Amino acid sequence: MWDGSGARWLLVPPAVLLVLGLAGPLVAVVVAGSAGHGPAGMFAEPFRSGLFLRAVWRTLWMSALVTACTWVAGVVYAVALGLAPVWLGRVLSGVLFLTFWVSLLVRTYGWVLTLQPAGALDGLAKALHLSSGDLGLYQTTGGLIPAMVHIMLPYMVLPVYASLRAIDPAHLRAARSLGASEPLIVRKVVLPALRSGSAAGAVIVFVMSLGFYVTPAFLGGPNGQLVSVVIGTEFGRLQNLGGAAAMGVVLLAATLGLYLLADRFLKISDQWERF
Amino acid sequence: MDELRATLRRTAPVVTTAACLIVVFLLVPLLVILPVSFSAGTFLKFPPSALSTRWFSEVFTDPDWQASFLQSLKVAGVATVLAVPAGTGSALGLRRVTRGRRLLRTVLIAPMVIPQLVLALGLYLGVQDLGGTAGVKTLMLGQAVLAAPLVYLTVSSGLASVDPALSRAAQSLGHRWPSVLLRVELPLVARSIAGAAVLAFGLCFDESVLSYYLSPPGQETLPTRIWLQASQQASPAIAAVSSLVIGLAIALIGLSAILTRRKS
Repeated sequence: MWDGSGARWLLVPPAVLLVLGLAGPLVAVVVAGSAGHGPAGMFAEPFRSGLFLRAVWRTLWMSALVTACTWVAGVVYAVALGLAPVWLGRVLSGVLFLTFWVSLLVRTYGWVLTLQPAGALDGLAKALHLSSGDLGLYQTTGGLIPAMVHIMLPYMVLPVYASLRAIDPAHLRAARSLGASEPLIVRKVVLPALRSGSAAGAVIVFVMSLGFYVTPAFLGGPNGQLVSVVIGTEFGRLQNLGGAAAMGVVLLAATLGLYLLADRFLKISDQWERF
Repeated sequence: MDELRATLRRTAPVVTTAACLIVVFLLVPLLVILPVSFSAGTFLKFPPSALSTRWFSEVFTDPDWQASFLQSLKVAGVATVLAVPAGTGSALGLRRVTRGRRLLRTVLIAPMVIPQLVLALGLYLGVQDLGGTAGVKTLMLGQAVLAAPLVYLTVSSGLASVDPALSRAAQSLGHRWPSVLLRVELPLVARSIAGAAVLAFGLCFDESVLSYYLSPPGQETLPTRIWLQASQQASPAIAAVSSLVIGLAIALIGLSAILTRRKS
């Protein structure tokens, strides 16, 4: 009988890596965060800063908005991957993987070149006689949201597409043979089948948006800071490590908490394993 | 999928058209970077008024860009060497456990959702607590943590098509587990491991947040240098470097796809 021997030894390398490179650092953040105001004060202290409080609200509603936009675009894209003719399906999945694998920083820089004053979008609008000068999207919410959706889209499309592929053809045949119209089939068979995949995708996108740093740092602007950008400034420019750590603990608790809850109820890690 | 296509005959054109618009949206940043990197002028202008390859030759001959490229190769290489055994060990080890499997998997995938900025801060503080200063080695460790889940997912999807009966058979023929591992399991997933290593290398090479906060001055990786340059000045040289990074990403996905393609 294959008794699974050796599991303990095989799990040694990941355990060592995760203890040294993940658990240790996270403990260090919590220790540094609680150094100033004790473990309870650690959570309260960051919220006394008006800057942080505003950033928290902004982060929450922007993440929700990004998730909603990504949800719609992601479901459309995933369904199109299934419905398009084979050649077009290849183009769609090729472009998705290309954007997924091109460096996040480079894609963000591409958005900077697109949105900045006299950038590509302004040039295009001028060429089409839609506007005479500056659209003023650079470092505004209106410019940041599309760029964030751009980065998040693959995380939505992949689980939704996995759910789409799992639809039993017999259900579709049954619905058709019972005379259901196409809109009814979409509403009653296809969309419900996509629910688990799209919920998993939405949670991942929301959690990742909460802690998103690179794109908001470039495109967020001085008046529209997100939590991670505030933490980055404390950490990098101001060298206020204790303050950065206390805010970091709040962000960490929110993201890890949501991830664990979602994994418990939506089986996110199962979804990821199917790709 | 054919049944779906046949059933949703009228929905298909609408959804497909919408997806084509999204494709254009997805390609926007790349389609802007490419022409700018071929600018002849010294300003970021789109579309450039004249084309040249001067910024590519400038980047290729600039010792600072060369040094940061080599630094990225080194850091990503070491991080990959750390991440591959960890991810592969997870994939093979998790197949053997029944109790606690879900919990282990949750922990193994967690680095994908933890805010990278918080991880960077933690690595910085952790090394400081131990009496050192965060540097290139810290960065390598952090990138390995980020890449390990990717290796785990790639190898375990390769393992999914391997019949567990093969391992059982080898064991019943008298092989102990190290020998089953080396002579049965690893050869069967060798291609997945190679593909995973290429993807992990690409991920680490492009990783920017840990790089930005942990690279010591004078030892910047390529993303760190792009970041610093992009926030300080506007030169088509950055677009040229970005185009090269895009080209490298395409080459790496291609290589990984060739490696992991299952023999039919």
